[in-house]
Amino acid sequence: MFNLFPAVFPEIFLINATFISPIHGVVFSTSKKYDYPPLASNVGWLGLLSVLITILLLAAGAPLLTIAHFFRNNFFRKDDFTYYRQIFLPLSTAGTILMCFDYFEQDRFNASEFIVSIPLSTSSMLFMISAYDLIAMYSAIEPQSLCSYVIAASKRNSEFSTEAGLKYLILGAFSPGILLFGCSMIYGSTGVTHFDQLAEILTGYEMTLFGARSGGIFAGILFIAVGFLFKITAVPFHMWAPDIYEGSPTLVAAFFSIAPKISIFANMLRVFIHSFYGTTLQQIFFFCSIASMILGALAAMAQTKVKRLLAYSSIGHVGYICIGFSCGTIGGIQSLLIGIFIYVLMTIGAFAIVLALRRTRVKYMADLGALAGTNPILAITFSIIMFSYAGIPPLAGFCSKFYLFFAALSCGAYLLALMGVVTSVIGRWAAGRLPGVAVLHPCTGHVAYQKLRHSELGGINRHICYSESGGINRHILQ
Amino acid sequence: MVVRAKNPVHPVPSSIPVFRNTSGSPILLGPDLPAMISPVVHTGAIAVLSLPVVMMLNIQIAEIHEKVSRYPPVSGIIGLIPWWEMSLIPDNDHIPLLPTSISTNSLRYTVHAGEIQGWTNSETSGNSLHTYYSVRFLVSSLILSVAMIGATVLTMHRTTRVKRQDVFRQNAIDSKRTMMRRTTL
Repeated sequence: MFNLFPAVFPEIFLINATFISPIHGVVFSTSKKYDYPPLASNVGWLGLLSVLITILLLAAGAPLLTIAHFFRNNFFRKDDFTYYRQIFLPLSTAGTILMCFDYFEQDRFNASEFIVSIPLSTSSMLFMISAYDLIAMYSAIEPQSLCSYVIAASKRNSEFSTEAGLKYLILGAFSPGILLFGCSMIYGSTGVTHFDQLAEILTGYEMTLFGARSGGIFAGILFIAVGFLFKITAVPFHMWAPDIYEGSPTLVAAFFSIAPKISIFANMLRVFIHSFYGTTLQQIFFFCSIASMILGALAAMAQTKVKRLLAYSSIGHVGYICIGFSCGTIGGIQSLLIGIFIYVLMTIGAFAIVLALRRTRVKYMADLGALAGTNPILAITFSIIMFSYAGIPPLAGFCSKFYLFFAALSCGAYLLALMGVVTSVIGRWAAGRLPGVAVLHPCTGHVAYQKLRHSELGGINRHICYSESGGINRHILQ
Repeated sequence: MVVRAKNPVHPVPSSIPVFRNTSGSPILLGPDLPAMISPVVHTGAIAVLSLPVVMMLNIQIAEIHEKVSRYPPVSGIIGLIPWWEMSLIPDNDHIPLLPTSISTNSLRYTVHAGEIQGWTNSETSGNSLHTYYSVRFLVSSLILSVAMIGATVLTMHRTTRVKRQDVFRQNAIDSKRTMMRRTTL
């Protein structure tokens, strides 16, 4: 066991950049010589740059994957799986940071430390993806959640935002507590925390006789599963997620419907498929994914506010992605990864559009009424994204759902696939409401939109092309 | 006392004896380093930092009139648990109160010379924890730094109406001028 520092150069770089950026912000924004410039956007670009350079460092670290086996006493392990996840994560974070510059300008938001939380959270998510030990997993989940609580409550003059931050704090303080309890029960029952060793110990677990089963292991795995399900806001544990999404600033809601899902799903895959394979978890993931899909579809129908609708549709989508989890086969895992990729692209697009329309305070869905008349390209873009959420055929969302259901069918989880299809049809109605309001049934009231900045439009449209071509490519490749 | 107090500030100093007593148990059982670290962390960091938070909270008088007589029974039961533990668990080799002690036939004679430990607690934990497992500390320090940055993001409010200290102005206060303003009663 030797300590291989070069293997964590990307994380080290990101953490250092995250600490130097607020120093830069503080030093220069209080300097009289430059007339006290508000440096929020400046530090924002620095944050974006540091995230992009981290991607380069991660890509350059590819040769280290072969020798990063015994790293840091096996605390982290980087292999091909983490390689792709770790490149995808800062990419999506960069997409989120791009959305925030306009937010700073509109709100005259001066705190340059706001942007610092996002790369810091990203660095801990990078640790989380490569974590190979229960302690590593927990100690990487904590800073990521902590950054999220902070930025959720950062809109100071809005009590809504404080409420969202407090709810997220309670939710996110409680769930790693359950997770840690599960970890400690596993440690108490097995004496190891390392994933490889756990995999060796629990290899034939499901085949043991009833008398040989350890209650501690079962309870520990269950608690870890519950903790993780809290974090990804799957259904029995989705408590305040819509309130959190609605109350926090839209940018922040975008960030935590995108980035933590990637890293937590990656970590869950490591934990449940590698270490705890098979045991008794298929039932809980079955139940959670079915319940999430049902709730996502049904509750999304009843919403009048845009952000809550996006929150419920993300809960529903997490349900679809958990189908891939419940299967446990390689096809299930592949479809899960594809599903996450496409989900992230769709979510970035959806939130980018909602953010782009913020100048006029789009809060309720009826506010989108005049979109078709004033800005038809944006309306079409929005429609494409929401249809992708719903799973209409040529779009990427359909492809991801197709593979998820296919994987479920191929491993015999017929009920999952059936429920998935049914809720998909129901959800189509819900997700189609937004484009319906925007395009088909425009309101005749006076809703004015300011001219959108060119960069936002360009970004959104480029984005759509990527996601749709991604869908077509999958179809061709498979 | 921690549970029953009406004024919300009282529990924080009252918890200091609680932490002190809680650390007594590990001292008797062996691990002295965690026993010493525990009051330092609990009292010196957690209680000290939660005290200003509690002082800043806006507790309305109406909440104080809620029935506090519900709390002593439960807290009394919980408070009796450490007493029970203290009597049963430490020194169980010498004073066998529980039937889990090793020999029930005769008193075991403890050769204390054989129990001299070569390494102290700090040495053993430092030898493995701080070398092979040092990454865990580094990653945990991320959490602390996030907490610091988070506190700054949430509370720093730089407008003209927020009162700030101006050290130079405070140094420039002239006592003669300040006192003379109040001599007219």
